[in-house]
Amino acid sequence: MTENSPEYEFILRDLGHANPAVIVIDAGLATSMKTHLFAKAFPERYFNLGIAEQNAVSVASGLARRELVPLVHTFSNFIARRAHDQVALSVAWPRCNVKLIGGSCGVFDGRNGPSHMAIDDLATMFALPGMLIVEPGDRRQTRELLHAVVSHAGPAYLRLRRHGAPEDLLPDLPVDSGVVVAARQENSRATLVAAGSMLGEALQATRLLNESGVPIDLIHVSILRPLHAQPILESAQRTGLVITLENHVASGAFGDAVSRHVAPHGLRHIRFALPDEFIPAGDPRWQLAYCGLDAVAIADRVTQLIAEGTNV
Amino acid sequence: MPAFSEVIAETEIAQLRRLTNQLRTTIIDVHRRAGSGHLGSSLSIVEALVVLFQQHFNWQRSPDEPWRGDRFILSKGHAALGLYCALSIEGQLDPRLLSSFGQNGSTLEPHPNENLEPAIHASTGSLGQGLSIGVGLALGSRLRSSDDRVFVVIGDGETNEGQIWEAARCAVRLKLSNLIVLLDDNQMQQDGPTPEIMPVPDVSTCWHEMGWCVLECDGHDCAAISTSLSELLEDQAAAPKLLHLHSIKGRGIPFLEGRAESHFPPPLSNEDFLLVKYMLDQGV
Repeated sequence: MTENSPEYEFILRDLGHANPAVIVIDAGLATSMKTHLFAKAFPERYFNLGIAEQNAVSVASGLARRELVPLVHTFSNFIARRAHDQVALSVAWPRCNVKLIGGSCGVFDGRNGPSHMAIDDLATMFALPGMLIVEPGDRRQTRELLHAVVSHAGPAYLRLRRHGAPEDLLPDLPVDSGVVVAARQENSRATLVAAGSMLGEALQATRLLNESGVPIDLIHVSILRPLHAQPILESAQRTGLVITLENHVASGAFGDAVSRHVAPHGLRHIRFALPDEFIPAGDPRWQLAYCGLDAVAIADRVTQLIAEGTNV
Repeated sequence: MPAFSEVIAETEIAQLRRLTNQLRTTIIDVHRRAGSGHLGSSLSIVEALVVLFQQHFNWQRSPDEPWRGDRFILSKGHAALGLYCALSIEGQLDPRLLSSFGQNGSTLEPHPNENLEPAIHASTGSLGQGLSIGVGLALGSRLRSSDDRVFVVIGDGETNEGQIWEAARCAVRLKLSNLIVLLDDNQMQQDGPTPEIMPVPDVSTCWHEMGWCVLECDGHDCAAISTSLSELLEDQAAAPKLLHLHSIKGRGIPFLEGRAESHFPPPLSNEDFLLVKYMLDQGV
């Protein structure tokens, strides 16, 4: 979302028209989170509560208790890190209908460095009982999933990239259960499972591998929790190799969620994730390469893994 | 000869005092039977709970509009023991549940859990969050064009939390005149006197300067609390309200009053309990 995804402001405003219970809360990052059209259209339902995220999350909890639907907007780090206790106790524990909209996630917003670039938010959100976790792969999915998140009764976390979300990477494939089979071949050698914002690199890597004569399945997951694992299992049992790809450190997030489903079947599972470090500030292309997660690096690593599997 | 209304008022205050004795005795007894609990913090809010629930709080609910109604939040959630006992006296909680306080799997957990008991309006325990939740509830009432009010009890130790100050500023900014905070200022926290650990002097002055309507009174004087709460609730200013109560931790148990040891003390012996009960009954 945002500077390069200007439509978020329209999506949010349209949501305001469709659902009179929706309340938008900002925590001092309105210009980044692109909430201004909603604010203009519904000033009585818009509140910028200033740079005080802990208060913003708990206030949203109070609004939800009056059966309103608050959407709290700020960068993911300031929700998942700074306001984690409030998310846990004011929202998740009482199962309040609060929607947490986090921007600035992972390598697609690393220019401001580790303070702003969320690399561990999914781990903390996955650890909270009952939290719906959603990460779209493109702008169209953002539109569809924002409505899905608001329709869901209960706490939810929508993880958004801030810059350069592509328009529509999977034409004609609705998000449905949050798992889309983007590529499938009977002779696939591996199952690449890409979470949320890694869709673009995953599609490109899949094309590169195909051109090299290495067919793989590609599955994209936008609803990370609860995970609809059946398509992943179906593919993995055919290919024998699962590779999860996520814009987050390996600990405690999407790879772990997939592992819980594939491990009992004895399937080989490798995780492509951000490295175990606070990543230096940089632009997305530079950071993707730094982390070994650009399309070329992904294709090389997948090829190597398949070769290792063959040799074993 | 006093005016008729004064006689009624005196009778009401006498009734409130009788209820505070009953509540205090119940708290000590439940604590004694449970074997543990946050006794001191529960005893310092007895008069506040009795006056609020008896005179001002509207417990009515509409099944068709469950979002409506006054809400009470014990932001200093460790005083749950006091709240449970007060709710039982109010008829909002089955008194038979009190014997399960603090037991394994009990509905009455050491900190309030709204998932288990409908009379609990917000789960608390991690200090500082209850006031923000109250801000949201009060704002929600206004957005729904209802006149429901939100009462939040915070502690002086809790004002060490930054979130309390975030919420305090927010309540003023939003002009939440339906938000009433009762500050239980017993000058103590778990580790000792608040003024020695992390003092928060002049809370009343600070909050008044921020834009709150503020009154102060003795936290154990039912008549003073009653008058102050009425005055605050009648105030038409477009501002949130603070009643700053000067209280004593462990109030009612002479050897625990004002002492850090009252925070989580061992249960009273049978002899001590009977003595304390006798003193309360005699109004000593």
